[in-house]
Formats: sequence, C-alpha cells, structure tokens
Amino acid sequence: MYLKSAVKYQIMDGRIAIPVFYLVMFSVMVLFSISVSGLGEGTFATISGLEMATIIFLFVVGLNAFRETFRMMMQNGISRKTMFKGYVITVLILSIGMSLINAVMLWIGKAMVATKDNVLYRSLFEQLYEMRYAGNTGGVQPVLEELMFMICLSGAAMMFGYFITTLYYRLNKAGKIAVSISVPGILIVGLPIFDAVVTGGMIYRAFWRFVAFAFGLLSGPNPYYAMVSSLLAAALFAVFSWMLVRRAVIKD
Amino acid sequence: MRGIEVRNIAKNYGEVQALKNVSVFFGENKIYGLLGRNGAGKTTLLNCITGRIFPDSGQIFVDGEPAIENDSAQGKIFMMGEKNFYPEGMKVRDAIKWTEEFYPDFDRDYCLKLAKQFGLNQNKKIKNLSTGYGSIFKLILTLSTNAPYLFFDEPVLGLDANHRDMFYKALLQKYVEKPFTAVISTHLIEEVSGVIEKVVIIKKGEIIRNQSVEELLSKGYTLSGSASAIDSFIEDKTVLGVDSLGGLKTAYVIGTIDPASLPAGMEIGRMDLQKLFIHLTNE
Repeated sequence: MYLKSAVKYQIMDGRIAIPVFYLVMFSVMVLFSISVSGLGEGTFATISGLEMATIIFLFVVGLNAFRETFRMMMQNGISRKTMFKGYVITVLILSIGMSLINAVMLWIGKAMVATKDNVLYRSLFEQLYEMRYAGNTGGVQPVLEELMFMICLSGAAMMFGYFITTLYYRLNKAGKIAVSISVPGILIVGLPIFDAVVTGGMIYRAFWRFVAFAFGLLSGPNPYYAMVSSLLAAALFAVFSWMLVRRAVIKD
Repeated sequence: MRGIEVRNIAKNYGEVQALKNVSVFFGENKIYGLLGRNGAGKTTLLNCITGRIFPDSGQIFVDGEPAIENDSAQGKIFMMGEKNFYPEGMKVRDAIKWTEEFYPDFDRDYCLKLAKQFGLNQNKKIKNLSTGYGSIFKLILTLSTNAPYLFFDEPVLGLDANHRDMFYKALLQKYVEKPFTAVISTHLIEEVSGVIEKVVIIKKGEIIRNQSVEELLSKGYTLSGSASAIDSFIEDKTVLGVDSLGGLKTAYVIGTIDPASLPAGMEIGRMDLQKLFIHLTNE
C-alpha cells in the first residue's frame, strides 16, 4: 500500500509538466510540417532527433524529483526505502510511457510529411543506427529496438538527474560550491587544456571512442550496446543515489 | 505493550548534545505535554521518532516494532511540525487528498467540517497561508488522520485566542470519541495544562520529569494571604516564586503541608504547572 501511494505521488508530480512538454513537442511538429508544405523542388528539409528533447526533459524531471518529494514523504510517514523504490518504479513507468508516446509521435510526424519527397523526418535512433537496417526498414524489429533504446536511455537520464539532485541535497554549502566549480572547471577548462597541451588530444579521442563503443557504433552499429550501457549507467546512478538517500535527513 | 518506546537515544549536532541518552515511553491513549525551554531537544526528539532525522545511537519502537525506516510503524504516527514540508505550489485541498492517500483511516468529512469551522480556504496555496492559518491547516490534517499517535509541535503558533480555544475543544472532543495518543510540545504551558494528563519535561537534552500532571503538581502548593503572614510562614520553606498584588501575596512552595496547620486567613491552593516548570528548568 505504501509503495503504491509513493509511486502514485511521484508520477502525479509530473501531471502538469508532461502534458505541457508534449504540447510543445506536438506544436513543433505541426509548425515544421506547415513550414515545409510550401517547399519547392530542389529544396530539402530535415527534422531529426526530437527524442533528444524527451531525454533532456526526463533528466530535468530527475533533477527535480527529490527535495520536495522527500519532505512530503517524511511528512506522511513514508520511509526512504519505499520512496526510493517508488522512484525507480516511476522511472520505469515514465521511460516506457514516454518512449511509447515518442514512437507514436514519430509515426505521426512521418505521416505528416509522407507526401513530400524532399522532406526527411528522422528519429535519433534512425540517425545513429540506420546502417543496421539498410534495405530492411519496414519490419517490427527496428520499431522494437528503437523503443527499447529509448526506454533505456530515458531511464539512465532520469537516474542521472536524481543522482545529481541527491548529491547536492546531501552536500553542505562548501561542498556544493566545490562541486559546482570544480566539476565544470575540470571538464570544460582543465581537461581540454591538459589534453591539448600534454596528451596531444589523446583524452578527447579516447572519450569519443568510448562513447562510440558504448553506443555500439563501432560494432555494426549495434543498438544493444547502447541499451546495455544505458542500463549499466542507470544501475550505477541508482546505487549511488540510494547511498545518498538512505541517510538523508530533513533540512529546515 | 502498545505505545512509543524511546530507548537511550542520543543526538549530537557538532559539539552540541541535543539529546543525551533519552529514554521515554508514550503510552496508548494518553495526552502528553512535552515541555522544555527553547533548544531543550523537544523537536529533535519528535523528529527522531518520526524518522525525519536519525539518532546517533539508541532505538525507537512503535507498538513493539522498530520505528526507523519502517512504513507500518511510521504509518501510525502523524506529526504537525512548525515547518511546512508540503511542496511549494501545493494547495490545501491537494494536501488533504494526499494525506488521505497515505493515511487510509483519514476522515475526509471530519476534515472538511473542521476546515469550515476554522474558516480555512481549501483553494489557497499552503505557502500563501498566514502563520495562524498554516497552523490551522496542519492541525486539521493531523486530527483528521485518525492515526493512533499524533504529535503536535507548537500547535497554536500564530493562532488567536478563539482559534486556540477551538483547537483544544476539537482535540478533546476527538479524544473522547476515539481515544489516541497526543504529544503536545508547546511553550504555552498554562493553556495546555488543562488538556494534558502526563507531562514529560526535557532539559538540555535530558528527560528530567515524566509523570502525571496530578503527581507532579502534588509536589507543591500555593499559599495566598496577607503579605506579612505569607512572608513569615514561608521563611523556612522552598519557594519557587511569589506574586504580589497590593497587600496580598501568593507563594509557590515545594513540599507538602497539613492544611490544618495553616494560620488563619491563609489559603492553600493547587500548584501552578508553569511556575513548577520554570523552577525545574531554570539554569
């Protein structure tokens, strides 16, 4: 009973943000289809990767998922363990739900421009893995794989956001300042300079090679690499988040 | 045994020892007054019991079950604190809806009746309520949960005299209809003394008294009479304090006395809880 209530509360937390998000997404799609309707011969237009907005949106949902929920749960006698389990279930539900909506939106988007030969509507998945389906784009397999890919990526984004917000919640003021300055400082300034001056771009190349490997772009391309990588990342962030949540206390 | 048992809990904030091996038992269906000066550790104790913070050591049980991180134990407690733990944008009516979700015995009809009685606007955002109405909102929710253990931390903060009276009446009426355990942490000792059965006094993180109000008040008495008669009579007694008005004086005295031994014109009365509290918690 407690878990069900904790899940219900955390899902209902997004009851305004999610419809607004899809309203904006749908408006973008409609605007795009209107704007390309008058395109003449020889002019090409492409819309691609709208799903990336969903990933960013879910990351932000994760970022906002802790503090207020934690206080509300504490007020209502719900343990940290139940709240956290509730969040993981919420991640699953939102990831699956929003990935399904994305699949439908992609289908609608493609249908809107179906009559135009000079307009291309592509998903993020198609951009990354189109080589895999060369000559075989009509079956169920690409649809299912794209759905699984989106679910895994969405889950990882939500858990990453949750990890960041729980980390900041647990840190004291000095810790927050230190992390806020040092992490971007190292990643945006320190590391690129070090890489350029000392290692001659080796770190940069290794990083992108790792990303390509994690997304299965070096192996086929194969989206299952990305699914496993996303699941591993989600699990890792979930473990770290739980370590932070289990001893979190109410702050005034 | 049913009740909330706190065993040897300690809590430190840096160098400050907020609770020092506190052990206390809040029994079933009793109204407790948790009294202590500012910073004595009252809220820290209640926050430890409700799992909002963790004690550094010790154990807490609710009806024999460990209380920390236990949904079923915590589901038996509802605490109204001074602070607002509801989300920024939440409206009163949404808070009612969610409290009903988390506390299945929540009495919505009773809640709406109290809201109407107190004039609480359910369409208002909680953060926009005045201090008084913020307290009223939390009081109404607490009383409506029907949880067996209700904690009231400074329940009448910002309430005018009429609303305070309404609250005490609602509390007692609810208690008579369906008894529960209430722990009322407050500074308004005189007001609450007519409501509480048992008193727990906490001083610098230690429980110094845990007994019935009757028992505690029997430790002393008040004497009233002419100033000169009182002055000479209390010379060899432990006096907590005196109030003077014109030629009359009232003395608050620790100990027992045979009323027959009183000089003519002098009256004996019941000890005042607030005076006793001040005496017990003075530095």
